[in-house]
Amino acid sequence: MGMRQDTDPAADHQGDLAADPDEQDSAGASRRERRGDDDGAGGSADRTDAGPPPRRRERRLRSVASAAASAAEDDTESDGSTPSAGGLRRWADVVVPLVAAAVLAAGLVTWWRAGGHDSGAVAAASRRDTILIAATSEIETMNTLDYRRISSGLKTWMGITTGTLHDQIAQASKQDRQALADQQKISAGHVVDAAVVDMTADTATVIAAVDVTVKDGTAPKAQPTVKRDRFSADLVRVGGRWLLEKLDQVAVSIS
Amino acid sequence: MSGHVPAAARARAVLPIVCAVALLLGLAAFWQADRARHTDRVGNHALVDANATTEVQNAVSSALLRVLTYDYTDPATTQTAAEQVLAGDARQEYDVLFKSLQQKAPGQKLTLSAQVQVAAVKDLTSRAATLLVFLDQASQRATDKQSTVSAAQLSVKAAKIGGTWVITDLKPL
Repeated sequence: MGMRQDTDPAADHQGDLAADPDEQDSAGASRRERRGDDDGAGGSADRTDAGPPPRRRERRLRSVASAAASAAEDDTESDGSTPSAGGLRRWADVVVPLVAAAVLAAGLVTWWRAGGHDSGAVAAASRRDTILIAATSEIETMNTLDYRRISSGLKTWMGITTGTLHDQIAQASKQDRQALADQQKISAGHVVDAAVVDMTADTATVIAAVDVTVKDGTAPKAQPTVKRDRFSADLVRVGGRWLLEKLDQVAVSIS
Repeated sequence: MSGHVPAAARARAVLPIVCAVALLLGLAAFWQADRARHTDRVGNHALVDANATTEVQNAVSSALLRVLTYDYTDPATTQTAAEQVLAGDARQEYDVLFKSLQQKAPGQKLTLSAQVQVAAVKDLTSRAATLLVFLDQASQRATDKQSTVSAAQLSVKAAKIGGTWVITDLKPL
């Protein structure tokens, strides 16, 4: 027992010695690690620490390294970000601008198209107004004639008519002109009210209530007579101008 | 390297702002589009809106026929029509006319009839319209078998009240 007791310490000692290098190594490693920590982070947290087991420290170092690596890849990322959150951020970096650009483009296209949504109606309204202005002026002209200037009057009529109406005026014979001159009337038409009844791209029908003032050339001091006529006019668009093709009085047809 | 990183960082910092501005502008454009779509650039829809034009033409024509058709044996029909299709000034003027008609019609055994030759819409909105109407009128007196025919030109104003067109003004030209 005594021998054993003697040898036992030796064995223990040997065991100690045998264990020593490991212990010294690990202690040295621990010191180095601590020094490295102090040098690297400059922190004092580890100094009071008894020293965490090497494996845990190793894991911490690895996670710090990976965080640093991912931080190097994406410098907007915070230290606590995990790689999957970083992927989401990168995905959002692409998708959000795309969505914003798409919304902007779609909005602008919709706006542009909405601006022209009634352009056809605007064009039609403009055409209607043009027709009414032309018809009003032309119906007045066709009710205006001075016996002293028959030729120029008929020429003016020819300039605002087309088709059969134009032909009729053009074919007015010398006798017809003389008959008009002999009447010695000065007439002036005034459209009291007019409206477009119907229209297509290049035809239209207009009605007009017309006051026709007639002066007698033989009695210049006499009161002119005024008569009211109802007219219906057909117009055709020729070379961008709306010209009269037909001009008729609207007769009473009730029985 | 040190020059590139801050530029990239600045771009990344600006990106969300650019996105937000683009989104806001896009939404504003949609809003403007909606406003533009509800903006009436035509104003006067006469003939431009063919259906609405025909509708007011027919409504005014039939209304005129009803109020201008009169039979001394049945004045109530005309009066009912006047109540239904006339409003405002047209109604007041018609009431005066109708009163004098009521006084002389039975003695003369008077009947009136009317026919619309043409009704053209000058001005048309969703609520109001102005028309030029060429109308023929005939009156018969049964007492002396005399009948007269006349041509009339009317400037008619109509308003859409409760979904139907009523005549608010009736002016012989």
